[in-house]
Amino acid sequence: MGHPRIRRPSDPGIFFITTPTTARTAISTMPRIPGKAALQPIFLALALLCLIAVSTGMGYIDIPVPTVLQALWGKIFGMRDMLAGMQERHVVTIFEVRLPRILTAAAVGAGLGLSGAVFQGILLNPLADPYTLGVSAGAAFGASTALLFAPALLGAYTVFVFAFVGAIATLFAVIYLASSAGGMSSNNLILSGVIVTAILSAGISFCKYLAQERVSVIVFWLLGSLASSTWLEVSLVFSVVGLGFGVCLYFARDLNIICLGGRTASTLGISPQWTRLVLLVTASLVAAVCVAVSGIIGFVGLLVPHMMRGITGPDHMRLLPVSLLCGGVLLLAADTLTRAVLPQEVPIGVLTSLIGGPFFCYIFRRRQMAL
Amino acid sequence: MSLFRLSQAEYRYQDGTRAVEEMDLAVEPGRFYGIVGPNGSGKSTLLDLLLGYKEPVSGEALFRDRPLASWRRRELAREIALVPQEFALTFPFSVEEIVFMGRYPHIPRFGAPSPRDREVVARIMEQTGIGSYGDRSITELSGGEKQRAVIARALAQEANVLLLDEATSNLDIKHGLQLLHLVRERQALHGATVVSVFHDLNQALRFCDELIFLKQGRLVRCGPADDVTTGDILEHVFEVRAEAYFEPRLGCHQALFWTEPRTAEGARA
Repeated sequence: MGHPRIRRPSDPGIFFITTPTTARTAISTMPRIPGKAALQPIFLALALLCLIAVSTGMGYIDIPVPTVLQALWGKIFGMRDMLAGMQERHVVTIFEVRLPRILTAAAVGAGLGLSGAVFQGILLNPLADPYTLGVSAGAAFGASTALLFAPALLGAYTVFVFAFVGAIATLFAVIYLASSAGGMSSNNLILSGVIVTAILSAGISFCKYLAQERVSVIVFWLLGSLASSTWLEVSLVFSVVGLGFGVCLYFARDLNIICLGGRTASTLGISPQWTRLVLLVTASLVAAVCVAVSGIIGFVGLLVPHMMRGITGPDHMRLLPVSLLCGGVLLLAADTLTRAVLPQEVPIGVLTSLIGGPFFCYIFRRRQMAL
Repeated sequence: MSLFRLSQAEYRYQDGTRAVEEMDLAVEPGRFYGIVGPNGSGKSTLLDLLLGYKEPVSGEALFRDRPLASWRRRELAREIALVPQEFALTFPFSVEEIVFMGRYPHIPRFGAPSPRDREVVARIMEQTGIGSYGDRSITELSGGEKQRAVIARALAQEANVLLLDEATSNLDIKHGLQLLHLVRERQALHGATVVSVFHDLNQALRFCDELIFLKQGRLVRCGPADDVTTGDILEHVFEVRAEAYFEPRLGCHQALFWTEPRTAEGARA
């Protein structure tokens, strides 16, 4: 060295042009008003509760909302005298017919909304949904096989078990395929999902072909339905979605970091591979249970995170809770529509796609114009 | 005590091709290192070894005399920050949210940012000139503005070691110089150690104390920038005709490259 250098801290160089006053004001308004951010999930939770109460009263037998509330109150707090004064058929309708289906719809919607948001985050792709990794195709293949070969092997839950096992087996096949192709990058995972889905679709078609005149059973399952939900299913979906939500929320901040890319994420204190794997398995488990219970319900997992990101921003700490709640509200509303409002029951999977598709077009166009 | 020490470090890709071979390197604290070499010479891989993002298949990679693999990720995040080359973001995080991510290693998982965290973020955003658009979405910024947000995110980590991977190659001349000035200021004022991969050798010569020349995954030469940069080394590493000369207006060496024939007439022909 030994040369006179202008390379010194006092070197003025070209310094950044800063405008401290504007900087201060900009910063003081950030981060987005905490009170408002906390209100969003509270508002959605209240909306969900109201919707549960209202939709329980709707249907073939009209039950007034106060009666519904009285019944729910009496049941939850164990006041038998409140239930005693009510019509027997109302109580049976509420607790044996409607609530299982309504709560399953809410929980499945919540699960799909949550896992959609997580998938879009991990795969860094706003087009991802809970089915991107082939969970739906796996479940559909499992269900088709069960319906075709052994509809009563495990009693009433045969189809559920087969669908769930199919979904989980597919998930691990996809993860194995992606990681053996040189790391679980977003592209590898999506491509593996596409490959496995294509193979399974052929399998499903073959099952339909073999089923011949019984093909309607398979087709009906694939269209999705919440009609035959039981309390067992309610508790199952609730516990899996609840646990999944806990895990995802724990890793929500890491999911933000993962959005910066794997290499940068690893310098911010997390292991991107491990975090991705945990979240992938968790979100897929949630999606698998939802699919196994209800069949394939499209668009909820894709649409809900999109809508919510417009409200909360992309921070997953805020996005995950509202996606969960909004998914519940939307699917319950759709299911109530087909169950109690429309003259003829439309399969729920068809209905969500019918409503979701055009709505997605609307969001998409609005965003294009905003940019 | 060297900050980083690689001894006989070797890294191979899955298909067996060697990215880094027999690498012996010591990085001393408080200095500005530049890694230079042709494409595919292992520059980014060397940086990945220093980051702990890749582990050597044989040999050692030590940070503060401990193997990088044995460090807890979160501890390491408070010591080493990365400024990557490109920054493709799918989701519209605000600039301030991005900078706050640099504080994550300092904030408990479910904790709120402390007043000090907010103060650091505000100060660094002001220093990097992005204070006025903290609430804008990162996806709608220009390349130069985005890269400033990226470096602000790295500086907010308050790590004592900054690793840059061709951090200026997507920037125009002005923004590139601004960024490197900011990094050098960080080094001079806070005693930070900087290791940066450079695409532009003359930029490296202008900003670095020490240069590391790589070729085909091997270390060719490492030492004070003005001493090791000779025509012979440059010709050997880059495989073109080259000459190094002292540029008094910058106060450091610069390099000239050409392919034969050398004369101006010949170049035109």
